[in-house]
Amino acid sequence: MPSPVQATIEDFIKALRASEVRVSPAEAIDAHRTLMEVGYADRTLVKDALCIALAKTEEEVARFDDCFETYFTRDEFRGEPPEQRQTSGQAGSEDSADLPLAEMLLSGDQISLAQAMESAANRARATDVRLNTQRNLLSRRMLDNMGLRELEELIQRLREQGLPRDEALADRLAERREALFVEANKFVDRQMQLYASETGRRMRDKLLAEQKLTNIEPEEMRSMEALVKRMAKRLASRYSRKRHRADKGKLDVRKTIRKSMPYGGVPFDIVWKRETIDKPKIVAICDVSRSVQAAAQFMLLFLYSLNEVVEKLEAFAFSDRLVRVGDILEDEKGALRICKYVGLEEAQWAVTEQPPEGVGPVVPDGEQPKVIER
Amino acid sequence: MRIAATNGGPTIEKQRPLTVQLKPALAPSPLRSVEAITEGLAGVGYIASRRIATALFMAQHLQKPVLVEGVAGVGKTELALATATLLDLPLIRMQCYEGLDESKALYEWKYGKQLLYTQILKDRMGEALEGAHSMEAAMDRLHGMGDMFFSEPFLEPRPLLRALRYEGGAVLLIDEIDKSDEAFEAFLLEILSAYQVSIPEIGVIKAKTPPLVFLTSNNVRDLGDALKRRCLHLHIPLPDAHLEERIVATRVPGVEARLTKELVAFVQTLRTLDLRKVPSISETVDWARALILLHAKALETDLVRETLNVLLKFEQDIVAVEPKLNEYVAKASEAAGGE
Repeated sequence: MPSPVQATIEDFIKALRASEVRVSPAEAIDAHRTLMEVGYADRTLVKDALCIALAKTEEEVARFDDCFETYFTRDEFRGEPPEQRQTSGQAGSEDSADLPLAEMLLSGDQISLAQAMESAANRARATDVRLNTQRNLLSRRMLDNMGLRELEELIQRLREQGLPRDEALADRLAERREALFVEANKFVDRQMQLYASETGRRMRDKLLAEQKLTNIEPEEMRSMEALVKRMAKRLASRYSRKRHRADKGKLDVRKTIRKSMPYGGVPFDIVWKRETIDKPKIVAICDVSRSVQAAAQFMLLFLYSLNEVVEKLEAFAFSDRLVRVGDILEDEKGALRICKYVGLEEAQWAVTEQPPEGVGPVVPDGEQPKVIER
Repeated sequence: MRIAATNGGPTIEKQRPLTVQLKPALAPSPLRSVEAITEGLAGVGYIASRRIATALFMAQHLQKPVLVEGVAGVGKTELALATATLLDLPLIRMQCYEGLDESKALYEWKYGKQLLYTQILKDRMGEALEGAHSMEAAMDRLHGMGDMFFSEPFLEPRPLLRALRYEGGAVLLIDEIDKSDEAFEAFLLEILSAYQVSIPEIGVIKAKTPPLVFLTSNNVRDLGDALKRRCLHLHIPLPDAHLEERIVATRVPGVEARLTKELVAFVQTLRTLDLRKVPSISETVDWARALILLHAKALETDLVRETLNVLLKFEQDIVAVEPKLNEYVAKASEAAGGE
């Protein structure tokens, strides 16, 4: 059975994973080792140390910082405890003695309430929450775990008894139950932020990746930009680093001698120094058409992202004349500038890997452009 | 002091210094705590943020390499240099580039000597095999001879192997790892996780004392997950104004406090603009040095215009900033508390 500290760290790691900070089991072990080294006394030190052990990119560092603050900050039950009314509190204790939740609410014990909510959340498996639609269900489950049903029955019973003293107690309990709802909602909001905030985005990205280019809404363009950049980077890294040794150039003396050892020192197998890397050379040609504006924007973005990673990219756009647009792609806002430059509003692109002189395959009007690999 | 009784009554005898040689107490490690690291690094001229100091603390205590990322000029390489100075350890620096392989990074055989050895062996073979009348006997004798050809005397250690061989440890800086090939990155994994290398002809060579390893990256390409997983990750962002003022004051001792505030405020303003390359710490430090050489006491628009190329490295950035220099200089002066 894990210790409470271990369980806390494991839940935190769960929250990190939900925020797209990839934490492998080995890194989770590192996190525990880290805490053994630095202790728990200094919050900043714990944050920095865990960040260094777990976040592996600049983006992950930012996500880690947010997640840490959300996870280890408790805003629930921070307000002033409700005013104590000695007489009625005393009177209410007989009825509510069997019900810890009613006791806590009446005594205004904020710390116990916070603890009870934490353990109720654990029982309700709050860390498994993924979708916004689970919000109310989680909130209800947590409160039930804390004893809400029994509390409601108690309020009902007190009202049925009809005595003024019981009425007053029921009113006070009902009032504090409302306050408890507010705190529970705050708690669930935090859980949603920790465990479910990225789920929606991931689903949107997935849908976007499968959507027809012509159906993409303008407000989705920013998400598309990020997706396209990732695609281009993946494509380029897959094809950009095929290396082989050249068969001419400068003699690699060391390697030649090394290879001559089995032949008694006779340089039988000659090795050349130069290594060449096959980097794809891409020629892209843009055709103008009235029907596929979204496709053009997609391909321009794709080319711009590719331009960062591919050694040689030749890009042409044409409406009534062919214009070289490779230089403009160097610029960050290149795609938009190209559209203006060639007077394009709607365009269609075809990409081919190093076609013969001049023209590569141009996709017929109205069809989706595609990357054609040789 | 102690009182000694003599015939003439008690006199006070001066206590002689204690001559017993005490075993010298171990000096406290400069890496014993985050605070000690921050102080120690400041002592050798590196103003570290708390997160940097924490990274160094963890690298030492968890014995893991640190992958340092950040834009060019934020002090990634400098961190390794400062650490080596602080710990008084040798610094072994390996610059990565495309095509770097293990023969340049880890070890190489001394081919010339190996060839000479072969020649000598050929000449002495007759003597060695004298009396062996059958082929089997000759082969037995051959097996009995030590296999010198691939042995340590013929091994030429390169930076990585040298770092593993230092008795007292070393600081190993693998600079710009993102410039190397993926194959080389994979090759580093064994060294980074187990501080050992496998040489097929000899076997496994383990570090005598694991070196403190820094890897730096400018994000030219994404590094593999396997490499990242083996390292602690430290991202050094561009500093805030306060930290940058301390850095400038440390690196350029002659600069006046007011000018430091002004020039840092100016650089901080530039960083908020949409520039192709925003100035980093090294550019701020260079600029401060340039201003001192020009005997500047405060920022003036003309002076800034003339020295802007120290801060901005692209013509298009200079063109973008120049028209608003007056405004930026005034803002910097205001931020520094001037009128």
